[in-house]
Amino acid sequence: MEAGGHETPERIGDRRLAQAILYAPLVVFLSVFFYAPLVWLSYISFVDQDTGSLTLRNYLEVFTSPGYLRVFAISLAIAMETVAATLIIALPAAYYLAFGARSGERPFLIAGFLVPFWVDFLLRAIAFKNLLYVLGLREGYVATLIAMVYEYLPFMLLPLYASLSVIDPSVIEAARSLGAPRSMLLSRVIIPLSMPGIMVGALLVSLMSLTEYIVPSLLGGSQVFTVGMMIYSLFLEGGLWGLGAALSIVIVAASMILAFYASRLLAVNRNAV
Amino acid sequence: MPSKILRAYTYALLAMIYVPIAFMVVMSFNDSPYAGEWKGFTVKWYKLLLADSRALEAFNNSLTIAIASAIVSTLIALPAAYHTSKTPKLGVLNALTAPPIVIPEITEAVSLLVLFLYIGFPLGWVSVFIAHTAFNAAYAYVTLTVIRGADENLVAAARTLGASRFYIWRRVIIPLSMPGIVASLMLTFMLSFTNFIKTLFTKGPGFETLPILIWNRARRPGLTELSSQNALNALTTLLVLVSISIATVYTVIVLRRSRTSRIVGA
Repeated sequence: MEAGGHETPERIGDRRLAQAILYAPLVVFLSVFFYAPLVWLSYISFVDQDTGSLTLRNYLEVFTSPGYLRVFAISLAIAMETVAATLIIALPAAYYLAFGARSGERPFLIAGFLVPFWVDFLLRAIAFKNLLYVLGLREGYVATLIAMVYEYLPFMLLPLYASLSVIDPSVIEAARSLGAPRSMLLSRVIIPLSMPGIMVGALLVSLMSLTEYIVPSLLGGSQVFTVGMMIYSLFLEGGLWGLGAALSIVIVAASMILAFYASRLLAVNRNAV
Repeated sequence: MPSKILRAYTYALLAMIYVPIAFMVVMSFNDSPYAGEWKGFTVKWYKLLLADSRALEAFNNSLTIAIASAIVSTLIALPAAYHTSKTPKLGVLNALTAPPIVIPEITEAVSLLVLFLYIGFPLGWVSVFIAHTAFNAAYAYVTLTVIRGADENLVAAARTLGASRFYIWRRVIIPLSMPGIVASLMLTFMLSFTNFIKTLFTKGPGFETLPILIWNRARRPGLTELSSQNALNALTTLLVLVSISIATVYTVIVLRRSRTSRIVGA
């Protein structure tokens, strides 16, 4: 704490300036190289590329043309299947991490699940491709899906664990000692209480997998074309910036809403316990 | 109790995550160019890389960009993180640094590309460096705020004893923030060194980093010996080992010295 209770306005001004010098570099840097490009991109998404006038045509085309809708449908199908598979696979492990693991083994397990989370998607996809090759699985929808589940598992597991770990174990004990069968314990206690984590994990995985570019282009063959691949080809192959921008802005808006929703869910969850 | 089954399941799942990586590492020492067809131990793919001028140039680009990006992003984030540690209730910076981590990488990459092209900024080393540093600054900030740094009481004590602001930074704040600074430098180096998507969009034609080289060769497998499966496995193994060793140290530091004792994954 600062000493002295009688500060003159000049001294307060001085301190504000000193504080501003601390955070100004980060704020300026992010504004110029992160927020300004996004603002610019959203502006472009409203510009008609042929006439240069403001328009909603890009968004209309993205949401109504059959070509885009098919890409959305395939991406959405992959995303939903990835979410479902990662949820089912991750839930038992998250439960064990939260309630079963001894306090000595928990950090080891968490570190084990956290570390691959930091390895770039491309590198894990290349590693995974070997295995598919050895198993004789051809490039295509199934190969893409398996690799997606592999890549996104940590993104589902960690939010699940985070929400399960704040559940009071005595709640589960209480349900058990009152004679709740295991299926009821799961459906009436554990799943409802871990809903925030399930929601965050599901939204995170669906949004990230919706824009996934690496796995489908590497393993999808000619069958799979996703929103991520579409964005790439609109910008770097087709030169259709307006459409690419509109598609990107839809994704950014969705992820901002997710981030806000997720932070509120987690905050509510934390306050409740 | 099904606890034993759950335990076995959890360990099996953990193993499954590492199996493809372990398999790739083994195959990078395989004499055959094809994964799965074991022909004996060799280090020829690694030797091949040492003589591969294209790979060496890509390595040089990756290394210099990663070092520069790690230093610049940590330098930018350190004062801001210190500011946050003094005023923990002010969430503006936390809110400002969340989107670069949360929004899908591809949209961030595209927005920078569009800006670079619009202002006529030449694509290459500098544009990739800027793209990497834009998200690294956010990761550096999060790392530095999560890991315990300088105690405000010690700073106040130094001030009471008449230390100048510069002296306090040099002798109190920076030394006490060292674990966070080291973790931040390591993480941002690794994220830049292995980054693919942002590099792909902002590199321009002809410029290559190691992940881009892997991508270009993986898309046309088997054309030359250098783009054979196990040559790629050797190159990818090197990058994965860098990632895993840095990520392990980082995770241990965060789990040990976290301010909140909560796990902050992303």
